[in-house]
Amino acid sequence: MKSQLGTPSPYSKRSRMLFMLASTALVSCVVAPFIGPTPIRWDAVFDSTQPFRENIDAQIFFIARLPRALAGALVGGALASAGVVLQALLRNPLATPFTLGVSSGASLGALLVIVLGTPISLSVLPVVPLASFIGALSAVGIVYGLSRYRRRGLSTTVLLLAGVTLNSLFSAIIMFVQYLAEPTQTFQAVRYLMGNLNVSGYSPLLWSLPLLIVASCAFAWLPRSLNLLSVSTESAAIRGVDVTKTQRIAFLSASLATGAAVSLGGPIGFVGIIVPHMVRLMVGADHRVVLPASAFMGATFLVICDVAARTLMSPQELPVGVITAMLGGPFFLWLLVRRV
Amino acid sequence: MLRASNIFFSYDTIPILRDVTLTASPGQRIGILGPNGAGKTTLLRVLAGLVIPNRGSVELDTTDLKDLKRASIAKQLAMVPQETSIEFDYSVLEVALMGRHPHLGALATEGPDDINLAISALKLTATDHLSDRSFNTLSGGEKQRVIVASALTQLASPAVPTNKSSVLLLDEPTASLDLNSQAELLALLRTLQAQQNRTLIVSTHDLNFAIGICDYLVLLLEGTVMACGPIDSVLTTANMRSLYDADIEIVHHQGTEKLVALLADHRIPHSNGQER
Repeated sequence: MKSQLGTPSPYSKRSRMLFMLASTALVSCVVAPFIGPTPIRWDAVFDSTQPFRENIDAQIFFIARLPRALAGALVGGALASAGVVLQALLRNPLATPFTLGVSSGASLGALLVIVLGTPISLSVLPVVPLASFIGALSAVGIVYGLSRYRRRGLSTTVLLLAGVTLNSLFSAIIMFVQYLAEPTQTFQAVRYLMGNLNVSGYSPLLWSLPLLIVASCAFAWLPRSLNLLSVSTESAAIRGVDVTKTQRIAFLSASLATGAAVSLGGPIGFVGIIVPHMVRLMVGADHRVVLPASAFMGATFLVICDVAARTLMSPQELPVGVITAMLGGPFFLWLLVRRV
Repeated sequence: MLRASNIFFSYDTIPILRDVTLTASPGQRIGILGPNGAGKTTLLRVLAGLVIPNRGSVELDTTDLKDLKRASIAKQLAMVPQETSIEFDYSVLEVALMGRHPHLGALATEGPDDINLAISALKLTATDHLSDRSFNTLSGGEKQRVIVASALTQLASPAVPTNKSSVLLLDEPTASLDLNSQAELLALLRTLQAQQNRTLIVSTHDLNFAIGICDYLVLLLEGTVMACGPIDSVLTTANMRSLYDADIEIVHHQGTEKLVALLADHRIPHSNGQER
């Protein structure tokens, strides 16, 4: 990677790279719905002479598959960028969006609703996603409260240890609840825990969209401060970063994005760690590129994985969480070896 | 001007600094000397506003640091920590450009001017040929120089009015450097001093390094100022012996008439001839 010093050319190269990744994400969202067990035709989908109610191809495209591809893009983008933010915040390249207990909190929330049911009829609300979002936020609240208990700023050590401990604690409670639950409920819960983008219609997307927009605004503000925080909190403060404020915004926005993603697709593993690393191998460490690039690449990655999940064993559908690791793992290892 | 008045600081209940007062004027090169655990690093952190003292205040051009935002402090005051290790793979130019942070708006990227400032700082520290290299692949001495370049990039600003002071703090800059790198750093700091009317505050326990760069010394012992003043009056054999509790002698080097600190072992070689 050679850059011409003294000219802004590194930046235009970055913009081209980001444009390319964004286009890829967009293309994957449009192409993915055409792939599936029932073949649909491009010209039939956009055939305006046929009314929508009678156009099966258009219905499959717009009602069954497009929302699912969009959900994949949103979840993938959210998890990958949350991963980037948390890795910088914790100065640990191995951190994932789930390191701080968010996913186990979400899983516990979802599981409790699946097993115990809801006391009142909440048919208007998407109950399981809502419960998992509340579970995620509770976990975040506990971890955040603990890490602030003794200091003015956030203690990243306490953050990390509290998150890991909470993950184990919640996992134990999850197993306990599963053990007591009916087999059918356990089955449903296990399926949820594998991660699954089985959404139809746009309302789940609309529920999570405001949360993701808030998180994205924070992400847009963060990158240069994240560069400095990823060096050390002290050098960040010296260079003029308001460390406490930045840490708080980074932690809360990453948690919000993760919570929204998990409530939409369940705890889909691996995206939040593998995509940021792929991106870093491609573009270097600057978070101003890494963060948006990871969002786009995470979107593309999960959309492709979901296509694989829908088609590999068709008509059987695999949980996408299984695919992300089975497809992403070897690819990442190949990338690592090729690089060295 | 950076002025610390009657600073008291303790970690939990362990007192680190006790009634430290220090005034640094533009162009001054202050050395903070003292044995390990004397509170040198803590004093630098207090001076940089990274920690708030329990009692006393630090003023930068008559404004209390507590009342200033981090970004406005950063435009005038930079610090080079003892060691910098980075988890992520930034290039040398990117590390230098991090110094521009306080000068940029939240969503702004560095323009050609910022890049030029960073490159001239890298040239000054003789690291411009490394600018595309990964920071993590550099040697300890090169890393140190790049961090100094980053600090200089931070302080460099045509926009800052000249009546505002500019302070560079260095925490034990020679601690992890070999002799060659120490000599290079010394030369670099002298160049900086010759070029700009900048205050330099260096904490060190390397007496000869302090002699090479400082014109004013603060001797710190167990968190209190044992003595302070111009280097010629403070750097005496008696002072150094009580500061370090070791058999040190300060002598004039014949020929250059510069001060040199000698350890007892150097003056009287051991019977087996081993110098330690």
